[in-house]
Amino acid sequence: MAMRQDLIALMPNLRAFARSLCGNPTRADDLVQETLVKAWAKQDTFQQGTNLKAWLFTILRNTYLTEIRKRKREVEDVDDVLAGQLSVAAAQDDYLDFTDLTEALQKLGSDQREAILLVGAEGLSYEEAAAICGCAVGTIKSRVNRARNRLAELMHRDEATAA
Amino acid sequence: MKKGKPDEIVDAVTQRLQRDYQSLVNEPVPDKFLELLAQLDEGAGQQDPVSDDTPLAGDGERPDASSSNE
Repeated sequence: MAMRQDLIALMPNLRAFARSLCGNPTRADDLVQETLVKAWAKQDTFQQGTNLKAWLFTILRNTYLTEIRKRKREVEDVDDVLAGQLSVAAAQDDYLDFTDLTEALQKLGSDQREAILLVGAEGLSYEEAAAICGCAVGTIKSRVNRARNRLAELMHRDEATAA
Repeated sequence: MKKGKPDEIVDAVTQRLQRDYQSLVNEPVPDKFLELLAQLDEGAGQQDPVSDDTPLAGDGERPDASSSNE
């Protein structure tokens, strides 16, 4: 019961992270659902007194990465040429004015996106974010910095207009 | 790495990110999630989830390969 209450309390954060990470509300909800099921099934491996939010975010992040790798393999298997064309088209859109930050976030690499979301948006420490992403604290700091600069590049016209 | 933007632009984008993210956090949670937890709590969960995305003790376990940068 305690775990259930903790999961309920953290669900808004899980949903916000998932939405921002994958940019698709339906996929995000599927991701959160999968995360909850996995967390529930593995709750005996969670050490009481440690950081439940970080544990849940790790599950969600790993589930997301596994899914996009699977999708990437499928695209490559189906049509390598088409995948290449899509990649070029995406690069050409890089300097559009974004009115939707979610759209701009999706232009970041997943490494930078998760770093800026965990630290800049969710407010986790660099140490917590590094633990979730399985990398060094310095790597997270660098990714956050690059992500901030990249978002500023992508959105600066929009922000300048609003200021 | 590209040249950094002026601090005020980076700050404005960061603030907007926090604002937009907070509005997502403040969205009401659909009932389906509460129902799912209720089912799990009652032992009705029938999935046998794959364990490779589940960290063992609070943090640190990696997915099946290094992070992608699609």
